[in-house]
Amino acid sequence: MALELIPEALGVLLSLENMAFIAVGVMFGMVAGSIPGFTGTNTVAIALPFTLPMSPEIALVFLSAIYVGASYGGAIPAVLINTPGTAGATATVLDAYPMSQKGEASKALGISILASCIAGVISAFFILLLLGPIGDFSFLFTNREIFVLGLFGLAAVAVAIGDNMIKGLVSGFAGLLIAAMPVDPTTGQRRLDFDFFGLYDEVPFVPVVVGLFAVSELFYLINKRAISEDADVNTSYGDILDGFRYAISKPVDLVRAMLIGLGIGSMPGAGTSVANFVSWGVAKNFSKKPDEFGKGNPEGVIASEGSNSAVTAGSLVPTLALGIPGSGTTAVMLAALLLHGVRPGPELMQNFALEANIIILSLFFANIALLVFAFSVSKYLVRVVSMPANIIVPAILALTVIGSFAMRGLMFDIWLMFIFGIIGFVMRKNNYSLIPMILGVILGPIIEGAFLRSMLVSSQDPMYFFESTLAISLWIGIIFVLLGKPVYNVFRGSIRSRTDLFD
Amino acid sequence: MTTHQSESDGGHVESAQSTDGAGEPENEHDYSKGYLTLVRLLFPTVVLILAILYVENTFGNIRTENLYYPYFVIGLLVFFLGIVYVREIRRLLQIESDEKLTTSLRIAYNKWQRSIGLVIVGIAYIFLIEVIGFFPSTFISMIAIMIVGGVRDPKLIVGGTFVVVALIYVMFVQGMGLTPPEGMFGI
Repeated sequence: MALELIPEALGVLLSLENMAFIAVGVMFGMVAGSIPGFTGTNTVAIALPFTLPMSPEIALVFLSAIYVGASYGGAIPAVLINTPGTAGATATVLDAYPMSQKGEASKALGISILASCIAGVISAFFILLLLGPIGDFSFLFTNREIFVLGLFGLAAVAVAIGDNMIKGLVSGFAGLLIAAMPVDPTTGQRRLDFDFFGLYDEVPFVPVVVGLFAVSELFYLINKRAISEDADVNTSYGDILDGFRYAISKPVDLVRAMLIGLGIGSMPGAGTSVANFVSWGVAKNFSKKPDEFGKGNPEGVIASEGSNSAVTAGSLVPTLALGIPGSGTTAVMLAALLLHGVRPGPELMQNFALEANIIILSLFFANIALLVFAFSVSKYLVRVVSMPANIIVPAILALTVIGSFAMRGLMFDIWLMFIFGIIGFVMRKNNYSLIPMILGVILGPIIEGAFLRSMLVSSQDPMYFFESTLAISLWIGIIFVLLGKPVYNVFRGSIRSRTDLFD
Repeated sequence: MTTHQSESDGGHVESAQSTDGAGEPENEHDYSKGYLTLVRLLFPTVVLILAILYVENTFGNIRTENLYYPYFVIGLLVFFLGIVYVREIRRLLQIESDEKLTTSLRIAYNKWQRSIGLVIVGIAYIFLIEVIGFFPSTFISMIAIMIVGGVRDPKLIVGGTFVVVALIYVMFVQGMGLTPPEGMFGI
């Protein structure tokens, strides 16, 4: 049972150095998340190469702390200047900014701080209880199931993320093809490396991740002058505490938001943007004052911020248990796992259960750090928001260069990062989702390895992939995921056309 | 409210409105068919070429059993690309536009000139790193990028550059022990 590992995990976590990493991660995430244009995903992508000197569990703890900080950080500009800093704060804007316009900006900040912290802590506790059963389930996975699971994960993410399923699948399978470019893993024969030594034995995923997320974002950011010039908002600590009191007085709303965030976050690819709107909508339905939603109802802020904080913990479930990211940020964290020699997938819970416990436990401390820092500095972070984006752009480019170089010490990696930055920009302009490509590049070697071993074990029998209940269930899952949305759209269209007849 | 990013995608919400970094919605009727064809079919064509090159480089050179997986991936990829091509071409055929390609290229250039400038400076930056090393080239390129980005205050440009370069040195080189790329002269 994973619960037995908790004391050992706490022993590793409770050191001054690790607490400092958590504190720094939360602060960094909060600052980055408060800058519109900087998602948690971009922030974690930029920080990824700098975790190289760290041990695997501490690197993941640091990145998780950034994720926690960024999840809350997006609420600050949402409250103060009507702009969500991250997608998870999009629904927060609906009620937080009207509260700010009524002179209740501090109260809105206080509500978002405490809702984030409480939901974050409770959801981490739930996930900790789930780790044991997840670990037991993971023993059912052999190479065959890992191969099919990889395809299922790719399909699920391609369908769930973005507006266009087929383009998501193109992106994902392009990632798998890119990952298959280096030498053949069993014969050592060259495949398609364009005679670049840097591509000989692997496609380095750090430059790919940093390029696709962080560098492609720079091509948008450089066109912005200042995020907002309206940085003159009065806030007070006394009113922030009022917000705390209000959030505590609504335990049912908090728990409901937390459960929605946890549930949706656990779904591969769903992410915070889905969770916060669903939670807001449900809160409106259950509210005694639904008409006030969208006009400054504090319950709306609780719903949005509580859910997006719980998504942080929830999205770690499929990431750690199955190697399928629950959100964009956890897709980047998969890269972090690989960077530190931890193979993502079902084997992680078998071989790295202690590390998984450490990561989840760190969420408790990260949310406590968030409470302290957010209370202290939220009102000052609005000045960061008004910093011209074209000053941030060159600084981030320099960081991405040194980060991409750090892993292998090759200039090739810097070029690769920049090329993928341009590719990422072209993809986003044309509605191709980036996450499936990242997943394809990261999971490609694992999926290919599982496939080759399965074929070896089965003496090249393709029917081997259909000879276990779990594998068959996953194949059915793939079909369901791929056909579900188109079938639903056809069904909805036919119902709509029939109801029109009766109008 | 400003429309913004989808965190689950790590970036911008994929709609015509918010993929425009200038903050204005893009109307495809403002552009010529030739331009839209170029832009929309660029990525799938590059992926298709990659798939063709892969098959050309591996077929007959690697034993068949080891090609099942990559060719399975390529097979599905080509299938999905086919659907993308059909949809995009159908969409393009429905567009009625009298704009010329050169006009559209000019409009796109005006809209994205800072991003294009960033690409050029970025390429120059990476070339410079190999010659003069990370810190000198970062210093020069940061100034160039800020100018491209529209910053005109010399104090902000030089001061901001000094601060960032110093922070990178202190935090990452001294603090974390990372080695930045060196140029030909060992800097």
